[in-house]
Amino acid sequence: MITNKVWGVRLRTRARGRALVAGSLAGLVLWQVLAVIVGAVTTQGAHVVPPLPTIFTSGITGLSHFYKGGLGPATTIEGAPDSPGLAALAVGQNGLVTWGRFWAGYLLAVGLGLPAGLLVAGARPVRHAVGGVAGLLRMLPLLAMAPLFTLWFGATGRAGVLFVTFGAFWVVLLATSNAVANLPAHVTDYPRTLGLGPVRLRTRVVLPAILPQLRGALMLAAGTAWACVLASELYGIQSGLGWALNQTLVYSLVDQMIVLALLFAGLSLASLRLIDAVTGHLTRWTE
Amino acid sequence: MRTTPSLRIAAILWGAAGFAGLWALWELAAFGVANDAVLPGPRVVLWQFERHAGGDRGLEFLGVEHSSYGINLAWTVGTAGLGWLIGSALGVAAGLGAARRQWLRDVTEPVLFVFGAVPVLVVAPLLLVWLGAGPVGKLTLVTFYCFVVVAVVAQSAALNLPPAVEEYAATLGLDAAARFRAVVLPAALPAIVAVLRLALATGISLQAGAELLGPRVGMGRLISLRAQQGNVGEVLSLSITLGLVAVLLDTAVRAAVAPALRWQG
Repeated sequence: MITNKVWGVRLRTRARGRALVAGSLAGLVLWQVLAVIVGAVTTQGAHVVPPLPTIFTSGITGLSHFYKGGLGPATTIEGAPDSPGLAALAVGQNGLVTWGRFWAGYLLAVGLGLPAGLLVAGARPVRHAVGGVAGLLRMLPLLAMAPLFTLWFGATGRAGVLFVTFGAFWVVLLATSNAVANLPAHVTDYPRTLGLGPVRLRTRVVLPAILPQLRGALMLAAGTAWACVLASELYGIQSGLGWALNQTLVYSLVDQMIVLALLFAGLSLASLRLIDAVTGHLTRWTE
Repeated sequence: MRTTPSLRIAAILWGAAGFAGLWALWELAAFGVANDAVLPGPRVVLWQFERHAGGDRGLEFLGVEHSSYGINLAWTVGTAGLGWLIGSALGVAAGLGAARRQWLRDVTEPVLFVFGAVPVLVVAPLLLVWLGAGPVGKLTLVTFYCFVVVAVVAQSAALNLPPAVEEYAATLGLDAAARFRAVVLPAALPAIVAVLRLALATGISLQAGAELLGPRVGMGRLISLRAQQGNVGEVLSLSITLGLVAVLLDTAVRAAVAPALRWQG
């Protein structure tokens, strides 16, 4: 067994759950101290750095304004007061929209990027030709291009989904074609001698063989997809958690802004965990 | 495997053919759409770039301080570059340090765990409220993004080095500092360089994205105004200009670090 120690000195550090918990608690305490100080020295301090009780009360119930109706209860525009129930409906309504846009765009990007990457990797000239173009398109300022998709497809969910697909597609395509290029020749040579055709070779041999290499890229593509969802909702689309975040910016509602940012972070982390678990299950044969 | 000169020339030629194909495809699509307001062809975009790159009084009327593309490009890339330099330097130090010192790992873990997976853009509105629409907020955003992404990869690269390699170096009499310099750092460098390049491109994109939210200068601001005017050609022209600058900077970074990676072959 490797001890990870040289003459009693540990060579490797490790993640510790208690450090995560302690760090989170320290963050909360630091925030509260900062809120008290800023609140004491400035007139608008409580709005700029709201104390924790404000975030956990008005920061949550204030989200009621983002409930658009259609699920039973009246909206705040119709006179209903802010309440935890309405806030939950608002979060559910907008969170589901954002969640749906992420998955639709991401799965579309993976669904298109994987076969495109396999095709591109099939011939070296095509790989060079597409690789250069994909490299340039990958360098475009993606987040700043969100308004372009709104111009093309309107301020609709479709614009958001296609923007996510555009952002994540290049990551998947480049990673797939690179992974195929890095495969040792014998992995494909031997099945060829057994008479496997090009389609079955790619689906039965190449795809499973490159999947371990693709795990990181699929996570990276998911991160890109989340950034794209947020950008598209911040800059034009009128629904989703990103839209709500933009509204809190317009009215400088920092308490609600923090709750929405935490919700967004939670959804993002949950989806990455899910993708990690699924790809881990698919590549369990490597362990 | 080393590439021969003829293979390298073939790769360049096929790469050029790829760009020619993209140009032709774009021209064809624009011809099919037949509406420059929806999809202008590459020649129209180029013409619009030439026409407005020097400045546009219309943009100044809308509150842009300097409408010349050069000044806005320098502002966006300069701010993003500074953020990249500061954030990356801190990220490399924190990541490599956290792989060697448990107390540093414990301190950095909560931040890297959360922001390693969450788009940093989510804190852009908060920074806008706290630090205003000026350059400090954007600089902080890009610096923070680069710090997180570089630290995560640097830490993971240092941890991925098989312990046997370092144990072998120790048997040769190298102390901890010498092992770090001669073994850990060179082994982690390829991954660190790759993430530095990624961070630079994404940092520029993040800077331009944050500029959409309201300052009076920067390429993102110009893109936002052109989008409000429904000017697809200008939005494309500005985005491609920024992308090309990112490619140039990426090439410069690659060339600058090439001597340090020569051992890879």
